[in-house]
Amino acid sequence: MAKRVYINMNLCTGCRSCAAACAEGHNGQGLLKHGFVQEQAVMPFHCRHCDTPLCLEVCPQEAIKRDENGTIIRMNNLCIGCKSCIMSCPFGVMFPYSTWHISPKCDLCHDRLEEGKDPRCVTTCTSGALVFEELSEIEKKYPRTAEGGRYFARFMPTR
Amino acid sequence: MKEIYTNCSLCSLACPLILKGGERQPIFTGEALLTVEWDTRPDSKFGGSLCARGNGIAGLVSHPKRLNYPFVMGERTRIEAAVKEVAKNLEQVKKEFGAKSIGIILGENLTNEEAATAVEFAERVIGSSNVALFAPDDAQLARGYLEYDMSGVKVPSGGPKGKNEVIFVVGDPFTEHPCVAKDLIKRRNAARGNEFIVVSPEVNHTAWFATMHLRCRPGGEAAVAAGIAKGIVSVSGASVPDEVSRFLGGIDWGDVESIGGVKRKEISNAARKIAEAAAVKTYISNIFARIGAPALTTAFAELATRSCAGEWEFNPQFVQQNTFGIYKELAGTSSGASIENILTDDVKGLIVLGVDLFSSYPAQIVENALRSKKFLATTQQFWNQTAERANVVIPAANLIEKSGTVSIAVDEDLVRKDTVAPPGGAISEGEFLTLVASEMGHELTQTEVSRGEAKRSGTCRGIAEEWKDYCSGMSALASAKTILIPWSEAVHVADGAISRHLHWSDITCPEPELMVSREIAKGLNITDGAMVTVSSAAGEVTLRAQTSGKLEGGVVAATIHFPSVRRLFPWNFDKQRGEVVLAPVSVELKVKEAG
Repeated sequence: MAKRVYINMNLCTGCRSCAAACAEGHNGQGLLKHGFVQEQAVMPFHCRHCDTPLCLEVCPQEAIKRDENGTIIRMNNLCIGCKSCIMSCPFGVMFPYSTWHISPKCDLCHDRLEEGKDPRCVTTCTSGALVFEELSEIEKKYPRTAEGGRYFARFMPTR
Repeated sequence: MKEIYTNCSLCSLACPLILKGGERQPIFTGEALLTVEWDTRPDSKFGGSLCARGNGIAGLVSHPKRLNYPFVMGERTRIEAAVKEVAKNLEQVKKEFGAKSIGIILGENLTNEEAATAVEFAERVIGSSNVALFAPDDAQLARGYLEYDMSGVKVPSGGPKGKNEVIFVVGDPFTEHPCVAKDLIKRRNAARGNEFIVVSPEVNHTAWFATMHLRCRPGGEAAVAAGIAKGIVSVSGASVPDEVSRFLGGIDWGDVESIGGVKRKEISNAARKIAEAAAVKTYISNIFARIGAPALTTAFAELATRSCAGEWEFNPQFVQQNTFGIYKELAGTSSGASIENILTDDVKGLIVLGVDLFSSYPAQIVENALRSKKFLATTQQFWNQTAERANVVIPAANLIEKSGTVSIAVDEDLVRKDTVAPPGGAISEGEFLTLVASEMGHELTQTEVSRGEAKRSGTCRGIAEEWKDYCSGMSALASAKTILIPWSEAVHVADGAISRHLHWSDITCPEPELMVSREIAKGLNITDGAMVTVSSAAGEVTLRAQTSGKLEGGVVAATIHFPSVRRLFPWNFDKQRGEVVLAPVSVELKVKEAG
């Protein structure tokens, strides 16, 4: 199974360094959206690079493709900005870009993966909340994290 | 592709990073465009993590708006001509009004060597001792550490009672210095029973992680820290200096509760946990000048930390990278004038090095000073309102482009050597002063400033007087219906004069904002997006409002890195201690336009 970005919400401080690194690494166009969980947390919405990606299915231009690592990537030159992918994404991780008429999408920093490095957001994470691992590894390391409910673990009386 | 191993220059953590030369050539410098790469070597501080500021630092180095040639009276010129103009005008002012009529204001964008050169320039070339540091966000923290020397605190032998670790935080380091988060959260989670105690008036990013959040009144941090220190000393039986002992004995719990806004029981509980801890790690973070009385808060937090029987670590975290170094430099010489003296009309010629005075404190006194000086020369990285009012503007190198030492913590100096070339004609402040001195017939050499621990006062004299002043200031604020506290996004640092040029700043915080508590929103019928006029004794500004549960009661917060917001804070000069005080202020709100 290919590696993906996972977030441990018990560690995320909401500093948005990941999104800043993403924007700096993609010529100023950030591909990582953040959302608020009430006012208790700001969490990055990472693309899951789904096994059955709805964004890929609905794209009328076939601008969204799966590469050899299973990463779901979008071609800027083909995207017409119709926002179908944004509406179809069940996780709400895609969003329209304000100036270009396209829909940005996480590419897992494939330029860095080719060099054997982690994606920018993971490398820069200030609290260690983001990791780039295979799901099986995550399950081994943090058995309870993968069981579900990880986004709200911070607010549970864990102590 | 070249790789430069350097350190971020945008706060006192100085996180290591790598600047990589890219292939594209920016038109104005001829230097390769740089990108940031994370320094993930095993021995790298923070393991390669960078905050939003650090991620954008390459953009500052090759920013299209960086000044790369000097101006004389608004006209572009060459460095040699600008230097001649400065020398000529300084000679003229000196001849006409005397040496004492020339002043120098230092900002944080200077190395220790450059600060020493500035002092030498003032003393030898000008014949004046009018040199002052302008760092309203930082200076009090530095003074608190150096003036109130808690190193004499002794703890009875016997060791700690408990086995757990306590992290004691005042302020919001996770927003202000995010790279410390990894270590602090790891320590908190290392064992069941470890505590994370946070003192702050708002539920900030750090308080999210607190096991105990002492939610104080705006500006009440010093009172809560005093209560905690008192509690710890009585539990641990630590022997403290006489002045401190007398002072602690005289502290009234009623004052602590009313000024701090936290119940005695909660404070005592926190104090007991810290006193019994096997290890204590203390952080003070004041990057947006949110802490009330930073000098006292530093002193009390250090007293509390040193009074613990277990292992301890005390980290007053400075805002800017080298304000502590410059503060030390000025404190150790005969130079050093109060900033207010330099701003007054007695000083006719002014050199402002590496600080945008207008962004830092856009008060009337600063504005008048900038307008009324007979001659004003400044070094700036970007065109700003200080540059606009100057006769001569010199394009300045930033700390990444300089060699020298900077004092990033109370016991840690950083040597900057592998540097990036500054854009075009930009030069360092040290080079500028040396050139002007040479033009005026003096030879200045930049000598390496000896490194080592800061020299502290050896006493705690004056702590009781400052506490008294603090209490009376807080009592005056008690009657205020609405209190404004500074707030900002993680991308900014202090006045935002430099950080507002970061690309990420435009995305996260493009315009000034006002955060209002739910109680205020309900009372004044403020909806999200409403335009609200905020007025204080110093001025007024209309801001877009956002309701927030992070604040409670009559507290509002506004983005401090915009000069329009900073203008709400009146010029508050503490004559006795010679420093400008940024503190929470009483304001009135009026809805201008519904959201």
